[in-house]
Amino acid sequence: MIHMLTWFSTTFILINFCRGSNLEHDGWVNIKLEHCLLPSDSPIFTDRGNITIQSLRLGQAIVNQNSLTQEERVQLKEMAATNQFYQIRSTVVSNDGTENVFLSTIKACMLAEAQLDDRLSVSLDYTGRVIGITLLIASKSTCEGAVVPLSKLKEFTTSVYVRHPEVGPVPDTASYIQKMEREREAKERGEVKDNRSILAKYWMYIVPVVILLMVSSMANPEAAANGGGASR
Amino acid sequence: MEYFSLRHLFLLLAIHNNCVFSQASSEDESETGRYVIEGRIFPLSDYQTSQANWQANTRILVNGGEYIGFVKKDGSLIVHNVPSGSYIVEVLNPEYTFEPVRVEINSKGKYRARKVNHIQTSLVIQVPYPLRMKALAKTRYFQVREQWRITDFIFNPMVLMMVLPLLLVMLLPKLMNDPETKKEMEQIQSLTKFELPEMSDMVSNFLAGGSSQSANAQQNKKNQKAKKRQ
Amino acid sequence: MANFRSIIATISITIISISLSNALYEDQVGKFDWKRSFIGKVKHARFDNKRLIVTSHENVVASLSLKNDQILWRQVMENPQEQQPLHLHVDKDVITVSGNRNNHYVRGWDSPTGSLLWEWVIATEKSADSFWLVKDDTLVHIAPFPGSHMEVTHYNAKTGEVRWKTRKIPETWVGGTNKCAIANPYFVCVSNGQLFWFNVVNSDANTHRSQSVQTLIGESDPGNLHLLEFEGPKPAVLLVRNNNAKVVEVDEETAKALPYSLISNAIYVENAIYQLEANLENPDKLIKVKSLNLLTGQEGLSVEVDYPLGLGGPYIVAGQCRGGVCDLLLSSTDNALTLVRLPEGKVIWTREEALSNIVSVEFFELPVSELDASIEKEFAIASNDVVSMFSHRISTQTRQLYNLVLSGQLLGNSGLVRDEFGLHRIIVVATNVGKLFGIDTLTGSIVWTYRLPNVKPFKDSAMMLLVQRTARYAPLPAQCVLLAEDANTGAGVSFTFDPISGMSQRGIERLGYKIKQAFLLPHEDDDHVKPIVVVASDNAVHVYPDEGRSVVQKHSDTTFLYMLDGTIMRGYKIKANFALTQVWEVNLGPSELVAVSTRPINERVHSQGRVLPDRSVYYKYVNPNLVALATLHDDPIHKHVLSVYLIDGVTGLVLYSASHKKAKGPVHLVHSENWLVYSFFNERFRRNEIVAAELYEGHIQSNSTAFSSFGVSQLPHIQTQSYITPANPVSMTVTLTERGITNKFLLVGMSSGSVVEIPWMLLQPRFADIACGPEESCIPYMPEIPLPAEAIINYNQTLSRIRRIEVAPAKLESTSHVLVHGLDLFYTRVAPSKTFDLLKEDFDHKLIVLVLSGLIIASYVTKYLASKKTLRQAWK
Repeated sequence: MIHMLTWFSTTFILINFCRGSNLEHDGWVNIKLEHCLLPSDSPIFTDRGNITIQSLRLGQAIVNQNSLTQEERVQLKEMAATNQFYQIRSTVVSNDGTENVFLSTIKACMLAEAQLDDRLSVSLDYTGRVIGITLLIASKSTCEGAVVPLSKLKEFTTSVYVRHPEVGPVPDTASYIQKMEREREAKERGEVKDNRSILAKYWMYIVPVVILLMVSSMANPEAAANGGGASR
Repeated sequence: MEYFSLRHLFLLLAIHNNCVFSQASSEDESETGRYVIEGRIFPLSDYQTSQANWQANTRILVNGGEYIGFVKKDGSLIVHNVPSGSYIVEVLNPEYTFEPVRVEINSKGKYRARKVNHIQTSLVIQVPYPLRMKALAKTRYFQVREQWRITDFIFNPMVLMMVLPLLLVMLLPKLMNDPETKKEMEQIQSLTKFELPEMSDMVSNFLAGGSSQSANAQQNKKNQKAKKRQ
Repeated sequence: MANFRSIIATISITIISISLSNALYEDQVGKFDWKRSFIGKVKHARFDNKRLIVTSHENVVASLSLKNDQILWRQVMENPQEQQPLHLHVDKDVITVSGNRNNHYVRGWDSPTGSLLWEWVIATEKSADSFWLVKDDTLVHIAPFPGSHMEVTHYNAKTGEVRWKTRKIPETWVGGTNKCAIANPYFVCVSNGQLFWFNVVNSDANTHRSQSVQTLIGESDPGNLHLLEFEGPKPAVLLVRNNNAKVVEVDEETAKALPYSLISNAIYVENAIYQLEANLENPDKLIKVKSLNLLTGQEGLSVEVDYPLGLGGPYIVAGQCRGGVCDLLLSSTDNALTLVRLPEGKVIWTREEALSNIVSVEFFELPVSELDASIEKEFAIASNDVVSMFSHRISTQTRQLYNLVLSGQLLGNSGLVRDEFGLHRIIVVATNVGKLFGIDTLTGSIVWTYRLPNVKPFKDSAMMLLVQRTARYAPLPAQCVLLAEDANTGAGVSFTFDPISGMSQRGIERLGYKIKQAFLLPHEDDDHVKPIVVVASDNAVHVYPDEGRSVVQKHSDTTFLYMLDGTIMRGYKIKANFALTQVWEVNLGPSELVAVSTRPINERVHSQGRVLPDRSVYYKYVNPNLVALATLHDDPIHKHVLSVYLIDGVTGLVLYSASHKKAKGPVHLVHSENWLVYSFFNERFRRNEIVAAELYEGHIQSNSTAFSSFGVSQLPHIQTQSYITPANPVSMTVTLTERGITNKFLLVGMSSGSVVEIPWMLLQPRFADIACGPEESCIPYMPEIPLPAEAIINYNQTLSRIRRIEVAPAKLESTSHVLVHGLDLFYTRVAPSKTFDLLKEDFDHKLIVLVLSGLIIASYVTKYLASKKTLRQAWK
């Protein structure tokens, strides 16, 4: 299929996603990308390119994508101007020969404003099977209405992200048991400190004393004042 | 300003048919051996006397309801049709709490009962089998409302606000007029001053800052008056 | 701004830490909660002097009072999906046989108390639809194998000891359930126009007897015959032919048909046969009971029954006569149970057993009172001049004042009128049998019912209640739509009604197509009605009401929906020409979808971020379009693998996925705000675990004004943490409040019958690199979630077979309405941060008045005394 194309560009993008990789079997997939530049009720998809992920575990992808022809560029710009949706269809062929088709849609204007710089998220399940392929544009907002010259709408620069499922968390019992053990030992050694403040511990003694002091200190001048009054 | 909303939608297409599963499993079960979990329940004695038919309100759940059992009048419990495996046996009673027990039945039909420990699953503390389930305590579902106490009332800030000034205004002058108490007070004062001099200062300054100032002013007045008289 | 936020955050944190021990006081019991217990559709019923013993399709055995509709006792047996009650015998004790086709439990119950007397099991190798018979203390088990033979075994009913070991009796006439019946001690079957009977109890007779049906009923063409049980004074069965039944008495030698015909639902009570007939003469009393003499068939009394109008068609389940007074127990097609007393024909009580199987719930605000509404009218009549408007205002407000002072409008006695805090609501529930109920939250009483004939839920589990208009728009009534399936054709059914009164203007509308998907558009039309979009099975889009089409068209750009077909999830967009176009697809592969959850539609997220101890804000990733899904996948190594996905419903992007090996269902998912909580059973450690996952944008908020699923600047950071629950969750939900300021509590229904509230604070994943302690207002991680008894919101009112927990916000920010349904119905209110916006109910109004007046008096007294004193001193 590729050799039939008149000219194509090749991009290598290496993304290492070892962190979440818990795949038991490694494998490769081949993704054929098609897109629709003429929105209608029954969309017609034309070839966009080909992506090969040699190792799902490593997430290495070889991206082969066609450049857009002048006509296609005009179509894309037209779609962006009328706020249409740009759709891709990806056919996934995996190493066991199974074939799956996925659809994904983005706003055409976002693709144009990003100057064909898009991301492809390939989500896998825990066995390494592709469950979904989504096209994304890295943008904080949807279209801002920027005018993009046609010359910028030529080459797709696609980053491929292979996304593995994370290993579900398990209750952290080990550290808890250790903590309990430590506390128990500390208790046995009698090192349990009452870390409440003095005020919290002995408030019932402090309060009466304070009241007494308060009363006495207030009584003093008043008694004197009284005395003064009486002597008048 | 786009807000894409998606509403919760019901799945209307068939997911799976459960009948297929249940039939298959029931066929499996009839082949394997079925065992019986037995035991006895000992409620707290006050409950036994207050509720004549506590047995009817008590249920036994095995693995959260996979198998269920009831309690007979003599307090014995029995759960039938249990294949070999590991089970948590719970006793449910609305008034009392019971500790659950893990019962393990091996493929030869040997029983072992142990305490449930979800954190250290391998820790085995055996308990007797047939089970002897004793109520731990009465279940406390409710918070205890604070009782009305006279001390609470007296220490209520509002009451203090009313009573303390009254006390100070009405009683203290009279107390101070009495020479004997005056002496006593002075003694106490000197004592407290001896023990905690800075504390009393601090507290009185802090709490009665305003009043002590006015007291000072009064003292000045008094001095002036005393001079006049002289 | 950040400062302000942090203040709010600290306040809310202090609120939580106080409210961790949030429990009821004992004197609050029943103050705002209520519980109704049900038994389900009755299967067998027997009178036992002053009580009624029943078994039901919910696999429940219970005793009901004859005086009122109270349940005296109720014992809930095994899961009704797997096991059913098969036989009920009431003698001195109650004997029940329940089970499936090859496992049977025989239980004896103490009739006054309901405690278990004995229990034993019968396990058969071959499965059959068995017949049961109790004679003296012998239980006879008859397992028919149609066309071949039957196996008869005698047991001691109390001990299970085999009295007569299994006999295999080769009889080709043995048939299935409705071709055979028990006529104690005979087993009677009809086969090929012949009636066969066989004494299964007596040991002597070992051969069957037979007689042709023709000689019994005198018709040459026997037609389609079937047998029903009939408990007469002599062994007898009901032979039914084309809705025409005859009593056939059998003995050792012959069978004899009694010379009159009956309808198939007739029972024998004390020398007479009772049957129900439609009463066409009196439109108020549609049902009449007729009695016939057993021997002659002569008509005895005919009584018009005061049968409630809302109930479905009845049939007699059981009857009893004592001293001239007869009680008949009727069950109806809507599962209601009615006790009728003859000869008056009075209905003693009615139990709405349909409520034991609720499929959909919605809470409704009540309309304002007429008086309040009349103030609104002031502006409605625009032509009025200022003077008349003013006089109108004055007169209504005087009336309001008058009402307030004199009649002391309290809650409850003011009828169905909105109260100040929105605590009084109407709960509309749709039940499995297609009956709708309006229930008052204050009392738990049924306000209205509406029976929809021939309606069933989608996939036997769900109906959709969609709120098109609330009661907020005063002169316009509230409007709600029920979507369900036609029981016969499977086509869609829609029913539009006023949820407050239960009235419907248009009645049931049968749609001519199957419903694949339906949802409520979040935008209103001019009449404040939110249109419903229904997708037919051929992907055609229908909008109800028709006026809503323009609204749909206007918002078609932003209307997305998804549909699930097995584990394939497809996203669609509605075009302006009402066609669906697919926009994305996710294929979760060969696994079983076990749970789906989206955020509650009316949920609001108040705080946009979490304040960290270093005073920086960590912004939440709040995506209103997220769908959480869980699948179970069979795996050769790990038995089952649970996968949890968070998928954006607009773009189909899988934002997060996690897998748990050796996990088993039941799986419960709750998605709210920026977090997800799910529970499952860990097969490796044999315990239930709960996982909390929280999504954050990070320290910078990407777009603070509007959220769009298309603008993905960075993927959210996900924090997760896992916990052990020492109980088995059967249902899970999260509290919902008006503005989302109040803390969130998870409400978890347990298999033990309690509903426990777990503060989200306790589950919220802790940051690994940030210390957690009281200074950070953070509860240190504990692997096992404590479930104290104080956290059980239904305290000692154990709820059987909890199916779902429904939550709705009250107008009071602190409070949520909670309805738990299953076999029981329980309503309560929860306040996760305590009722911070209400005065405490024990607030002492008298004391504050007393103290204030005391202070005022004291100040005057002291003033007087002081002036007196100064005067006296001046004179000295």
